[in-house]
Amino acid sequence: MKIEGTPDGIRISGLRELDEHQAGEIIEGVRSALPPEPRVIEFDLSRVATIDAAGVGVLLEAHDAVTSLGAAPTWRLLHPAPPVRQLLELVRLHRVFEIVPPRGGAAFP
Amino acid sequence: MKAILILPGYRPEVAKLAESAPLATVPFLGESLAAYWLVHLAARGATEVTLLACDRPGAVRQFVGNGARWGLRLKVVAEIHELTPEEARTRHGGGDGWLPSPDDAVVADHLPGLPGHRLCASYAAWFAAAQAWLDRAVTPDRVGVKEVRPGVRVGWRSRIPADATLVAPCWIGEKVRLAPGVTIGPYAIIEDRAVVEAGATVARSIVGPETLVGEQTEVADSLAAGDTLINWRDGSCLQVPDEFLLCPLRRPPGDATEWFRRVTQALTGSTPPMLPADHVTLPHA
Repeated sequence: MKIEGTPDGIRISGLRELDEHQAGEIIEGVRSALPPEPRVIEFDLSRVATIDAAGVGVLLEAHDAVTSLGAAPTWRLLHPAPPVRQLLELVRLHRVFEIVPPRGGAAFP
Repeated sequence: MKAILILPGYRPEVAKLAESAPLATVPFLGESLAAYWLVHLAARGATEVTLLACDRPGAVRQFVGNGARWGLRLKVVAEIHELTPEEARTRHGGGDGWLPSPDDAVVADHLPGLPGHRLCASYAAWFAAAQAWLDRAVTPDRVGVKEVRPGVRVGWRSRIPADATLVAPCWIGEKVRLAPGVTIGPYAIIEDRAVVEAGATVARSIVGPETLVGEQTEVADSLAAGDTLINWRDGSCLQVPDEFLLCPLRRPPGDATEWFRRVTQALTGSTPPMLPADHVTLPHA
């Protein structure tokens, strides 16, 4: 997992899976990298092949952790594979996170 | 009068729909493609219909029975591949007493009267055909379907709470249970014995029979059956890993059945026909 700063906020990339064991690491990483007034927080999901409710929980925990600090950035989930996007939509996460489809509609490699 | 009904074979474009049953017997607004065609042919005066099945003919045979339900005499013939009407006439026709063309030999890759909707062409075509069929699905042999308000049809013994939002057009099958706060529609079909839990939304989608849609979920632009979720717009498919989000209410044949199938296949080199879900008794059911 890699967390890097962007002009607007931070991007979390290199994720291959999302499960409850990663929640602490991701939340700590996001908190420590968070600029004073983040405008955009992005999760690059292009390498995540599958996701379940525990993975959704990780995203929501990160969301809650940042919100609890008083920040209200835009949240983006970048390039999820179609089945990952389907699950995110099934649990209505697209109402909280902006989902950016894969470039050129490409499927998961 | 006689007729030949050519049932669709394997169609890769909608392969997921045919995983547990041949396409002709897949539930479709409470019935099936085969049933709608048999009703149609009976209404045209057919008394004897030969069904040509190249996909799991044993399952088709069990599904249609002897045809008494439709007032028909039925014969299911196994074919190696899907015949054209011309091939079917040559191979199985002959003699007098046939329905006039084209009803004498029909490929059931569309619904009666809707030749423009080739529902096996894609998941989107399947969904579009279901929507186009909504007004015609109440065939003369069906009872119990009520139009509770324009464009909202509900089958018998379904439970709909007072605060459910039903947006036309929508179809709610038989013995469906909707929990409080659900939104069904527009363009939603809930097949028989499905359960939609509290706060869930189903729009532009078909929920298969005996499928549970979990609390607060949103099924949109999808064909949901059991734990399978197909996005009909792009064809992507998800096996939902969490049962509380989407799952079958009835388990597929258990290990013993699967074991029997595999052993039989190994011994004979053939696959025994799968039983329709209604014929499966579960140990814990």
